[in-house]
Amino acid sequence: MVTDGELVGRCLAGDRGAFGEIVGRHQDTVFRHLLRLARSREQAEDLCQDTFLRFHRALPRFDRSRPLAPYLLKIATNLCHDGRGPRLVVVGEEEADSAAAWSALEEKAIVGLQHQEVLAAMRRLRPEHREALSLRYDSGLSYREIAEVMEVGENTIATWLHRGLGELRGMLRTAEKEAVR
Amino acid sequence: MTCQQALGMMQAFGDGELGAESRRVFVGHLKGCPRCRGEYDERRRLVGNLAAALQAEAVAPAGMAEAIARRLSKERETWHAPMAGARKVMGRRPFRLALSAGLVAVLVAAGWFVFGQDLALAKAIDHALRQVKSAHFVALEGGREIEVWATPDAERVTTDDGWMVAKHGVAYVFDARRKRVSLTRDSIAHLHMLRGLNVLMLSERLRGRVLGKPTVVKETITLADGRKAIRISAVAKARNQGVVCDYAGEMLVDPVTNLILSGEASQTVPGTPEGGKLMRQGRLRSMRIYVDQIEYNAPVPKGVFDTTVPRGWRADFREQQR
Repeated sequence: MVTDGELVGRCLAGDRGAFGEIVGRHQDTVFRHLLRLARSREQAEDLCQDTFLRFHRALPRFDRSRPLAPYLLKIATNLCHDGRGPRLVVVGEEEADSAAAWSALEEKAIVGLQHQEVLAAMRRLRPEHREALSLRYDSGLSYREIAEVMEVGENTIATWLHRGLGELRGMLRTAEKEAVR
Repeated sequence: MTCQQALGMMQAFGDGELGAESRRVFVGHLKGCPRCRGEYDERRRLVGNLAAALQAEAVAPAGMAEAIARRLSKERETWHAPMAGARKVMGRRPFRLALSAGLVAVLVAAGWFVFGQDLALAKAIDHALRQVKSAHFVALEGGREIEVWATPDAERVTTDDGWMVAKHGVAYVFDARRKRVSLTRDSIAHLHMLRGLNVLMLSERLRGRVLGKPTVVKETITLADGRKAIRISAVAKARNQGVVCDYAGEMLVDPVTNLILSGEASQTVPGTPEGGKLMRQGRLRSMRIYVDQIEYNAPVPKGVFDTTVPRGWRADFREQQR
């Protein structure tokens, strides 16, 4: 499979289709991330387009040896928090150790627990906890990458993930108990 | 390792963020501790549920890639649009404008360039604008006359008519009878002072959105009276309150004093939500802004800024709108 870095190289060489491929690969991740930050779905759609347009302008500056998703999510976050312009920060110098021990867990999902309940609980979390959880468990970013996207320290990210998950667990337990009654 | 320590490491272990040695110790503890093992399994299930729910939440709407491609293609056109656009917008009859309209266009460009496109030019624009202490604008939008007074002093002010200036500046907006323009909450218009500059720019963040890369040209010219001047011209397109507007203009800067001498430009831009509505209805094609007073930070040689507003400009503008 062609890597993101190779696609960027093809874009720079004038291959317009390559940029479409990049959009196709990452649009869902960027869109979902924006859905959790933006005020409305419409705004998330607009910002999603803006993210890729801004990335297109930044193509010559993008370091192709680095992962693309955090870079896009950083642009998206910047656009959402500050419409005035990009405050691009160079993200992750190395690929995160993606061999996370949580992986391949879907089949063990709690029976009867619906996605909607989880998402509803997510929406009640503090925004920074929600964003950190989303970047970790949806976008698959490492602590370091999340820290750079959110412009805080890695320890803070670890704390937010821990607390976010703790609160989420509490809310889901409560919801389960109410459902049993 | 104690259970307390294991609990502290659990999150990082699950996320693959633990070093090899710590991982080994943690796994060793887990094997011999049913309580921690149970806790770990519960967290695993939670994370699994969360990841599955998040990833199933939504996909980008159909046509996203096509929409991006369309906007990219438009940008490419804009990138190659030279000053011809400016002439078209300005029309046949060159208005002898003062400062503002040109600066709006220049600032759109400046804002762009500040973010890495051309720092030298952005600095030049920035420097020239920093010399201005305050400016008084008169604008015509549709049949309405608006007065704007701007200074770079205030950080953030919301006036009670709903106009707001974010950061570095304040603008009070009045109608021709010196009465505050009344706007609904929904129609709050934001005017953005860029980097302490005291000229108004409709911010991308708010209702306007710059499309593509503005074309900016900087050149040295000789004025009719023999003086040299730096001319900075800009053309930009921006989506503003749902309407694609042309911003075009130029300003002259004295190369010795670095003061802004004058500007000559035009723009099609609804300055207010009412203007946006008129524009969508086809009843407004452009908005003109004239600066009739300008105050500099330092004393300036007489005649540096020519405040002459062409006679009959209001009638001329209204004629254009018909």
